[in-house]
Amino acid sequence: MGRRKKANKPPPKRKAIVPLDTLFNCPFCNHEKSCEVKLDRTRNTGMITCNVCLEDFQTSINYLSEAVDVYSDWIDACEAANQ
Amino acid sequence: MAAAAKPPTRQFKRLPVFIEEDHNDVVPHIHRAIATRHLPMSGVPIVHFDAHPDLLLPLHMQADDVFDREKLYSGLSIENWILPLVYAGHIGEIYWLKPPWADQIPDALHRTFSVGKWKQTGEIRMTLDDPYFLTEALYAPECQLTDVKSVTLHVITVTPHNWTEGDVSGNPGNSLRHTAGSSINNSECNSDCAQTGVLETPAPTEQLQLKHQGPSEAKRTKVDLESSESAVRVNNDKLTEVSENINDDALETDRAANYDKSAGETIQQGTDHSESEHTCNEDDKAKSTITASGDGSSCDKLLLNQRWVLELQENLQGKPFVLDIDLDFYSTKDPFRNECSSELTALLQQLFGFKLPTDTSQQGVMAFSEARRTQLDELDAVFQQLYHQPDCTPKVKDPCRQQLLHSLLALLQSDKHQSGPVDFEMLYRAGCTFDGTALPHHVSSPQQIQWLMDTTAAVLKSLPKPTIVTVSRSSVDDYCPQDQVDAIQDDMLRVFDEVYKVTEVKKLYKEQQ
Repeated sequence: MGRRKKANKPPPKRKAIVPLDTLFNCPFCNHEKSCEVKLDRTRNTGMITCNVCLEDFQTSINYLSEAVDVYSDWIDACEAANQ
Repeated sequence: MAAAAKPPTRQFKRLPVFIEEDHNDVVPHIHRAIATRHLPMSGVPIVHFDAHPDLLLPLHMQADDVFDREKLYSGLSIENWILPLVYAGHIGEIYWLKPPWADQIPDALHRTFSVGKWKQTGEIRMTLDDPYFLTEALYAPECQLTDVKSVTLHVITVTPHNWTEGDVSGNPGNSLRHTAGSSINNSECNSDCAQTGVLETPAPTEQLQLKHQGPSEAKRTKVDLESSESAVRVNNDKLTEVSENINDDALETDRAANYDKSAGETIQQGTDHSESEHTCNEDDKAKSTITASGDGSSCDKLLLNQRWVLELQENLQGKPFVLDIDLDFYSTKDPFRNECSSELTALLQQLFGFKLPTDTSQQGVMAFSEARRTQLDELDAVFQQLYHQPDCTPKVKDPCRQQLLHSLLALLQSDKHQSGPVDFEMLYRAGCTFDGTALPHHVSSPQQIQWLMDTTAAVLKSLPKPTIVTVSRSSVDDYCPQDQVDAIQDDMLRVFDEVYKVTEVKKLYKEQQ
């Protein structure tokens, strides 16, 4: 049962991790990059608020969640409400 | 606006295909698919085409680090990226689909085991006591684990209907045609293998010091095979359908030409293969007939393969799942194979050797595991020391091992002047692979790659569409031959286009180049 280790080759360069967006356009007032996300990891809660029109939204998160996931949930919720 | 009551599940418009170089680099893509709710948080099945299990654990990783992505990604390696996802609760079912030459874990369906946090150290451990896991000191009994996650493992050898194999002595290998076909067809198949001339077989297990399969393991495998046979006969009508699908796919292409370029073969040989392929398919149909009449014991292996196709169809229906393919599934190299002389290999085998426990009680197994961990840690420290101070002579506790180490260093001193500086890191890694079975090594012929590709296409057609596809090239570290990997990848992508129609291929390995 051999281990499957790497051969005698120089290790590939680690890819630079491109940070995901943290500011988003508001679906209500349409201002660009006006919505800011806060991730409360201890409570597993994500909150997003538009700094211009003060619309906000809250959703559940997990240890894998990023700001963009909170924003995506908000957009989905908006679309669901409009249907 | 109020909070969303229940998070929605999402579907990709185009099936994403993430192609990475190193296999562990697919983990962030699986994580993102979970975070974006394309995959559920728990119990996701993974269909894993690979010549290697990749089912080890990072020995010293703290279980809590699994939930710290930075620590997790930096602690993973190509051989140990799946079970941490099990411990995190994400993966609940593993289908390891392996090529005919891969034997690190024996075939068996429905083996449920647990992965958890070991109370003693806080590291991740698991409850299977196969030598594959035991020799890495990864075993712990369930009563010593907390935060336990259950997972079901299915290990399945994918053998194309028309698969032929030969060894270096020219003897017919594990050929299904050989068991069921006429003598004329057999000679044609062997001739095919001889013509391709690139087939190599793994080093015989007997050359290694230790047996890797105890009586209990052999018994378990036998039971699985028996139950498989009876289940398959019940579903015989469906089996014939799958069999015909695979045969149709095998007939439709002449893609061997792609691999011919890299392997130096001629188009003429590809044409010859088409003829013999047709003969093989007729044989396979004959075998199905024999099986239908209940007289097909020689076709057990074929039937086992088909049983899992039916099970996969049923188990994956309506479930989001990950399709994961390592391109070394189609052609595999053992990168350490030519790194060491036979004398050096023999010394490393003894130095890294062990004796599996004769006492198979929990205490006996744990005692072995502890001793093995000490041995691996000690050897790790020894080779680290040599890496930094090549002229030193490290000390080890066991007098026999100390003597072996002296012999090894003496041999390296004598070789040094011939082959330059010694790479002790490589030697340590090579030593770690000498533990029961050799790493799989099988540089496939163009025809064999094509057969495996056609079988993959037939299997994927029979399954529901996956949620995401992850692909690993494994070529920079030489597990997939570098002169074949591009052709294999191109063919793989053609299969995806054919089966899934709309895909979004992300060649992320290019960012590393």
